[in-house]
Amino acid sequence: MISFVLRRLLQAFVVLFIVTIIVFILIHLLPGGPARASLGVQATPTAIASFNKQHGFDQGLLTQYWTWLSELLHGALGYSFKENSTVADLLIDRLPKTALLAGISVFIAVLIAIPLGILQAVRRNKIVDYIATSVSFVLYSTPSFWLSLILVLVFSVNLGWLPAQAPQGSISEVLLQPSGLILPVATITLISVALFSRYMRSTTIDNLTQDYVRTAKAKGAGTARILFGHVLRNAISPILTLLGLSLPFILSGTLITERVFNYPGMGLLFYNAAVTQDYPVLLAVTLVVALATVLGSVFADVCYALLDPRIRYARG
Amino acid sequence: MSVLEISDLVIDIRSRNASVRPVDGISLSIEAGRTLGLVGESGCGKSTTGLAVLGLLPLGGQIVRGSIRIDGQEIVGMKEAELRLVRGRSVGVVFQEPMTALNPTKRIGVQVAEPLLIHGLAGRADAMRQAIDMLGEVGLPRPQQQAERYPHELSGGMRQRVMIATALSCRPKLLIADEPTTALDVTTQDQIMRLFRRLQDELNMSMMLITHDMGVVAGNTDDVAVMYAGRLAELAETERLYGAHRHRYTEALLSSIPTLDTSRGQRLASIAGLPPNLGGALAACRFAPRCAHASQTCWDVEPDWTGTDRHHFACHWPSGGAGATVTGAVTSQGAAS
Amino acid sequence: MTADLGQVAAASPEPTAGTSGPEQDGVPKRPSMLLRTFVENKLAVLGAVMFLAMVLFCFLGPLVYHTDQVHTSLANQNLPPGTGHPLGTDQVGYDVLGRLMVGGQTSLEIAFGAAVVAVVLGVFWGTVAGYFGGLVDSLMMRIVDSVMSIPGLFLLMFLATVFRPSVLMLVLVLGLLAWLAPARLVRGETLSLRHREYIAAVRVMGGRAPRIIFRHLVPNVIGTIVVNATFQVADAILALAAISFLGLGIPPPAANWGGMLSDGLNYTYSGFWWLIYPPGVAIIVTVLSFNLIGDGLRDAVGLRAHRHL
Repeated sequence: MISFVLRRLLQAFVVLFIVTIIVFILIHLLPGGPARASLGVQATPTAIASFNKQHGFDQGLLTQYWTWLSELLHGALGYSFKENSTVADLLIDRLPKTALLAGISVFIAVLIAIPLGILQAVRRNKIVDYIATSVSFVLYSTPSFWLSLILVLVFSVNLGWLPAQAPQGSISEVLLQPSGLILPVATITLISVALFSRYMRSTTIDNLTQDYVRTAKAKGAGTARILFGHVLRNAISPILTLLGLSLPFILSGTLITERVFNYPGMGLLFYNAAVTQDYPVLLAVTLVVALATVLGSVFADVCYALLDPRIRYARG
Repeated sequence: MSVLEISDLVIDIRSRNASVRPVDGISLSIEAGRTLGLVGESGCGKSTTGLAVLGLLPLGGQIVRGSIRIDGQEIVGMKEAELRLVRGRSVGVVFQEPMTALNPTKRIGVQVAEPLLIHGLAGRADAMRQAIDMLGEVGLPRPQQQAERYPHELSGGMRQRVMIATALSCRPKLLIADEPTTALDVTTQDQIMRLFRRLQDELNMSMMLITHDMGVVAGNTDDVAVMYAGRLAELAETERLYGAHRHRYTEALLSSIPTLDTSRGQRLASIAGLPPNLGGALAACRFAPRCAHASQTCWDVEPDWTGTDRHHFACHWPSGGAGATVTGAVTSQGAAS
Repeated sequence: MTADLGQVAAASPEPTAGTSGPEQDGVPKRPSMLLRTFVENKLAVLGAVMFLAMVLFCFLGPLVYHTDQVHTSLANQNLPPGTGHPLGTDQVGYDVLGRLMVGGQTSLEIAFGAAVVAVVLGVFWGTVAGYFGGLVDSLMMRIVDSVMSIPGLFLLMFLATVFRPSVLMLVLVLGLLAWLAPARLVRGETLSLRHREYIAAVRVMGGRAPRIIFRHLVPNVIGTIVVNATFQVADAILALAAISFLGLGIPPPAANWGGMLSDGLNYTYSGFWWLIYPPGVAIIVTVLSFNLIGDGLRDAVGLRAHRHL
């Protein structure tokens, strides 16, 4: 088990390493190179030249990479002239808010999706299943920003129940205005539920066809005991794996939702940076998001190993 | 009163496009303490019969008519809730694949104790104690430690013993074993069959041993029922069947087993052809297409279920005896016995 | 009636990620059987019909219903649906219905283009990785993992900031983001194929590497690839809509659905619903049709031998 986790972490390191290389390449794709990336679009040629000299960008690519990487690891993520703050500070401010939004949405989505998926599996191909599957399909095919717009149209404009804009300010201020969080959370939750419940349904059906369910039935077990005492145990780890792996999907959804609702999280930061060509921010957020994704998949694998006794107690 | 009594059982399996009848009129019974071997080729309907006893037919499966009585209680037509009271309690099952029959994420001990908990026969602690005892009974060394392990940590033979322990935890009156040793090697097979015999004696339990292996049946059963294409060919006490069988299918089956007398280089006898497709047209005696002794009668007229007290068969041209037992026109074409 | 779990248990399992190959006993399924299974699936047929309807709408529609999608007409801005404009006009006077049609053309073209790029690149990458195995495979797959670690939308936005968006650029970028899944799939199949006995048999009989790959790999993999490609198109349409919505797509007067919604965002409070519902419905219908087709194909391809019963 330990060896499994270690191997997995090693893999993650390699992947992250390659990610930094990719980002490095991205920096050099920019017209004007890394100087532009740091100083921004408005930088004058002289500023760029001195910057290059100062940071050793006139040296070989490999040295550059090494310098950049070590600076990165010391927390120097650059400075954003647009926002007038170090990128690191910006991230510290924004990341918790995005985490809050994504976290709540995923939590609610899981709470809905697991029972829904199980219900669909048990009542497979009956009316309940068809309706739920159809709704899932449609939701899955819906662009999240459109969903947001509709929600705003219905609940803000027509009914006036909820505000159309998300709460502003720091994380503590955000938490004080929960009503503004409802629509953004609803958007991400709805999209996620579609994906999760479908998956839960598949996994449950897969499990229900296993022999051990027939054995349980032969012992006289009823539906409840079979589902919760047997199937759920086996179905949980695929779900956790899915959660870990769907992090990119959720983050993308969060980005768009933050834009629509003007929610001051990392997604909106990234969007603004894209519009204003604030490259230091763009790069830093990309790195953070990649890191989150990699950690998510490590989490998924480790959970899977922990919950499956065949791996946990593997002999040798 | 017999522990198990099946009368004229007919089972259909319906899929979206077609309907098949894997069991077409089976009648048999098992007395207390006796073992019945239910033999036949793959697809003859023996497993379906076994599953039907517990109401565990696959999706689309339905008992069309007939009766199954366990200790006098009628199973056919029982509601799901009532069936649950029978399963694991009056009747235990051991399936073929011990690898997959156990839940990989639960410890052995818990799984063995489960039937006791389901039927409310013991509290949690007591059930675990009984489970550990049972694991010892089935021959697992150091049962207390084994109870804490997971299925993947055990060998195939040990897993099957665990399955047996599970099936027997509520001391059922009847044990249905569906190909219990097919997935195991020969030595283990022997051990498991001995275990069955010992437990049967101790618990005075009846057993239905479903298998395709005539060798397994030989030393381990009191009675044998030979099934072919959904129907019974012959039903007799084991010794009689092996010594004085009548149905031609039985004869063919027995002669295809190589014995110590089979000399080197001698061709193994086998039954030519394949079992019939149950969805297609069938001869009146279903074995007719593959029988060396079949006549036109066999194709047209269904043989009666006939015989003496403890030995029945359905064959127009049985071996070793009186000859044709046909009602209606007798044609003397074709082979004599 | 209470749920009978045992019966569900004995029913055939729903195919999950299309990993069960399209072969039965080593023989690829006949196309006629695939088609028949597909057609039996009502939802899949519905998807196909929706798709055809959308194609007709987008490509034949403008031939029947002429509108000016190039010249703005501020005098006509934001008209609600009525005479002359069945779905109203947007804030620069373009007719919404006409714009839907033209926008659809772009969306479909780009999405298809991206799917083609993705499949070609993915198949190539995956085959090479799977065929050579070992270190080459490890490295190539780690690269796949790494690119996959950056959520597509972020990468897409970044590249859209750097390069000026055009149809070609979007096709390439979307394709570059989408090649990862087919690569994985193909690599998996190639790897397993390498070890299958009959490949060894072909080798022993003197068959050479490219022949092995084409004769055996392609039939096995083509089903899964087609299924995947269908979903890629669906994802590409959503991604394209998202990027256009965020303002980083092709600039006007080029029409596309995402861009139309981005304008709609500004007018939510004014209640100009015709700027919001139609593009969204168009996107949903199109993406849904692909998802339904893909699902139907997956069922058709992943079926096992129990069909014969």
